[in-house]
Amino acid sequence: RDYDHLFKLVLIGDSGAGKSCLLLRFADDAFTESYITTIGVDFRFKTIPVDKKTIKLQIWDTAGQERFRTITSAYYRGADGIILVYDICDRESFAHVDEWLNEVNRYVNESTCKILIGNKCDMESERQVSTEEAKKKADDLGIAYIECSAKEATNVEQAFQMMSAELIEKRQKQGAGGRSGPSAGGGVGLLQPKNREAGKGSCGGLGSCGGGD
Amino acid sequence: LYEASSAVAQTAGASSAPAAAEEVALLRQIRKDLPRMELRGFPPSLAAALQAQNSTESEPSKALPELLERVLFIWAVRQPASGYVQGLNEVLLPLVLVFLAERLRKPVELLNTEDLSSPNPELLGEVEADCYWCMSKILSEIFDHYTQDQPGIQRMARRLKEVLRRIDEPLALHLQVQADEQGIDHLQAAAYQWVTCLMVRELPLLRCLRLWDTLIAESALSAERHSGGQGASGMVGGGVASAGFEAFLVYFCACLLAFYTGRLQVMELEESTAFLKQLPTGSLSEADMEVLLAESYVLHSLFHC
Repeated sequence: RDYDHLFKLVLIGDSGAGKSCLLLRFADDAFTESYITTIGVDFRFKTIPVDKKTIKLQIWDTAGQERFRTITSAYYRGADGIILVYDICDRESFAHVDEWLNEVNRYVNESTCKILIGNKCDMESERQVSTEEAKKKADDLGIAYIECSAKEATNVEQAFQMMSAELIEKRQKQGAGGRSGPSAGGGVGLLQPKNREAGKGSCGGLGSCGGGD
Repeated sequence: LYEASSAVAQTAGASSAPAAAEEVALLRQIRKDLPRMELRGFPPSLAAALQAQNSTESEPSKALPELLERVLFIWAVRQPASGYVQGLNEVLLPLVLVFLAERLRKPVELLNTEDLSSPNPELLGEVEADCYWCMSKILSEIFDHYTQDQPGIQRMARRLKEVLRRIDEPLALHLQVQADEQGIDHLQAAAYQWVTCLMVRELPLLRCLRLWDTLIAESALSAERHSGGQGASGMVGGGVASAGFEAFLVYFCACLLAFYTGRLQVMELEESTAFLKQLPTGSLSEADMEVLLAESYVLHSLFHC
């Protein structure tokens, strides 16, 4: 066996959010504008080093359309991690985040690691969901949030690294004495979008109204 | 034909100002998917002309993408039990190209970007009606492939495995062992895609047309058999289970798998998964295709009739 841990991850989210493109970027470091729709499920393997360990990821990519739900939901079972993707330029895909979590929670248990990804963060001018709003959403849900761009390879590797690190930690805790304290693990810290000074400047007039005291 | 044509014309207005939220969502989905298609065996420029989005020219180039959009939209609205399912956009491709080529009186393989980007509007109306009718006819035979839970697709995947076991046990076993070892049913995952898109994604277009010719002929034959020889024009085939796009297609898929048996049997799981999802059919010759269809026919006669 040429790895220390094997994790099964599942990509879910609305059609067109960029799940397949994220996977293509992560697995092959490639991008194509004209990616064809995913029918049913697809999957890829990728082995990465995390904290001096070799991690083999088995990543399932699912079709976003509702009609494929019966087929795709069979693959949620036994997932170690769920990667929920929405498109920052498509408010509707963000609005469906709760729905997706409810759906997936029917099949996975509490300990399954989840992460929310806002994809297409290279298209700032068409953004419909602010970073702050998405962060708040993720906080409320108790899951980590990160913004990525499959196109520009922003944070894609980091997202998978982040998830793997959390999964390793979880597995090691399980291994070490089976202590299953309810608060164990906790949330992973929020990872800031890498090449962007989120929250600074950019907010137009908002910053100028302080200064009184 | 007239009926379909007028229905399309009637709802064409609806598509520009859809009333219900569901219809807006439907249109959104179709518009998301239309640019995400591949035209195997044709230059990318031809696909781009069908998809509008990437084309730089203005007005006329939208005609064909809008035709696709209308046909899909109307079919979905009129079939609420199924609605639009991703993959149906690809199912429509062979139809639109065949009917367009027919009107232009040239073979499909000689269609060029100009034919697709600035077609004659009058001619397109007829193409649209024909596409709509044929799509309705084909899908009526395999309707439960696209309804809730997609029972038809799941049945097809199961039958494909059964047939494969009968005709190529070593390959069937090899794939089964791989699947069991890692808990990944890659053949099933691939079969879902093959069947949903009726092989449009798997075969270069000309090979796909050859396959469809046989499937349509088989459907007509089986309809004839079931209607006691009163002709094959019955609207909804009485013999759904023996329709070409259902029964015959399974045998073809099994034969195609067996065709690649030598390569598949030496592959590891990862490799075979990628292989199954993207079969190297670019090198499939016309003669190969004839052999595959003949083999499928033999199996169909042996196992089915």
